[in-house]
Amino acid sequence: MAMVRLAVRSVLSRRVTAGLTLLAIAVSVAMLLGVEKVRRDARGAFANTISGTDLVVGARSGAIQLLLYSVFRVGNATNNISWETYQDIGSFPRVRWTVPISLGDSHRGFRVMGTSADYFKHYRYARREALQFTAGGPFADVFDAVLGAQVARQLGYALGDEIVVSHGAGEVSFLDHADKPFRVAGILAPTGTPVDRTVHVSVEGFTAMHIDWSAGAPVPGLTVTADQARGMDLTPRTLTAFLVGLESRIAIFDVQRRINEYREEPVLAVIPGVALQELWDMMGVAENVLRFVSAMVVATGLLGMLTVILAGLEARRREMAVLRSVGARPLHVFALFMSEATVFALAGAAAGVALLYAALLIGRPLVAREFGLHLPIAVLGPSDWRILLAVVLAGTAAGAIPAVRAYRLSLADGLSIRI
Amino acid sequence: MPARRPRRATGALAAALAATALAAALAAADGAREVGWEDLAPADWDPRAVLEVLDGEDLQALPDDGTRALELLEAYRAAARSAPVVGELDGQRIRIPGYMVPLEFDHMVISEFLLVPYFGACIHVPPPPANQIVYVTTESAFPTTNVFKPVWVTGVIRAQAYRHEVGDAGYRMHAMDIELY
Repeated sequence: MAMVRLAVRSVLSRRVTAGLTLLAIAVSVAMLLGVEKVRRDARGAFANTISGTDLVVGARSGAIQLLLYSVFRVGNATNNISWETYQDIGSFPRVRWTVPISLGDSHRGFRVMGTSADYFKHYRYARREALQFTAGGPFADVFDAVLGAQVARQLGYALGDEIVVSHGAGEVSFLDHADKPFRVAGILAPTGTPVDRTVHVSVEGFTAMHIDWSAGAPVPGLTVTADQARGMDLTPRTLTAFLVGLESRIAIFDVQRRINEYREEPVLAVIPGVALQELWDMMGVAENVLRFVSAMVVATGLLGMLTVILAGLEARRREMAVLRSVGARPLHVFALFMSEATVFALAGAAAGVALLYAALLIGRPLVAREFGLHLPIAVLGPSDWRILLAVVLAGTAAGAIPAVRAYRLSLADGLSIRI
Repeated sequence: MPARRPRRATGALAAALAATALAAALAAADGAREVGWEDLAPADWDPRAVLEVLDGEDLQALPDDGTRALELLEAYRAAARSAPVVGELDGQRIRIPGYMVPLEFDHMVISEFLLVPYFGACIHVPPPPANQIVYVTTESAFPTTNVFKPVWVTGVIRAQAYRHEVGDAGYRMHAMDIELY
């Protein structure tokens, strides 16, 4: 232990170079851990977003794409499906429930989703947890809206407030549905899923706000007021997608096949778990590239440390000589250099962890807002500890190179150094 | 050593007795019995029975979406759905190989899946009949990175032939252990 104390003291006497070396290791460790964390949390978030839904049905495109736009609200739908198809499939044998989903509008950057009150009954996330209301309840009127937790918090809405929905899914739209405002009827509890960032309205409300938009833009002189709209037939003609729950999960393949073979309209039914798995398999390649790059960054950090120690070796021959004169054997010099590398690696790893948590604290809200990804601040997992252990071991091993050299030099040098 | 299945003629009582004896013998041996997918279909059930509804039809001559073709498809589906289960398997501890179709995840771990005898849904033939699908729940931490590889699943199987109006006959299982094949 005396050796470690000596190593720490020695490092402290060379603060600036040592500090920079440490920083290089810390940044690389934080990056490696950060990539792992984002990867794990992103997967966890996707896995937790849908539960208890047997099939997701939409226009025929791709399994991953359908799941992404209908459930995760990432990207846009390619096409809508007709209301008749929805009704028809809903009456298939062994289909227990269906929940419609209409997308395409937004409210100040948050997606607006048209659905039915059944959504709050059947939609499940994480481990089959149902949605909870912190205030109000499901929609009762055509122009009622239910807000996700984040929408309400970020925009400061309370029950009874009026909100105006915009056309399109962008942050800012220059065409509003201002003539038909929605009233906040309910606010949901946080779920850590895209639901938090969604404004829910009824499919009838969704239809009502587009009733005078038959030309793709408001037609002058053809305005329908909210009250007039209430009196009209608001059964939607199209839907973006719908969720299906079955009587028995054994029936999944059979019902899925029936839907995929539906003759009246090309529709696609996917099993959410399978589509998720496909998505992960696809992301796996990119993830591995990221991991490789961050591992290389760590290697660079350790190489930097090696360079600093080796470069310092020449300058420290006198230090070694003094140590030798007070009775240190060459083996002690070897141990000193080994401990120095270990101290660097350990301190670097610790600083890296600190850096990671600091970055998480600062970056969390930004990541949640920009990418909808919640990064929970959690203790390090077993895989994180394995990474840290690997970094420390690699650092120590790298320390053997200058240690061996110092050992040789101290054997040869003695007190009379010919520099 | 799987005991020969009792003949139909011996009746349900004998079958139940034999199953109990078998289960007891297995429990004593303290090992899961290895079964194959053919064991999940009753010995007297001929998968071709499902196809019997198609007998005497010239399938190639039928237009794909003609009324007759759709009728046949429906009859075929009904037959596949009511494919019987082997009641004797109920409560047995078995080990069976298969592919997972993931349904539910608990964070990064699979918690519910369907076990099927072959990989991927082949779109050229109808989906497997109900007695060739096992609905599995599990707490064993099987990582999602291995989902598309074949696995051995060990656990107690329940054979429930519920003749519910819309429900299927089928197997359920709580897996104690899942390992790569």
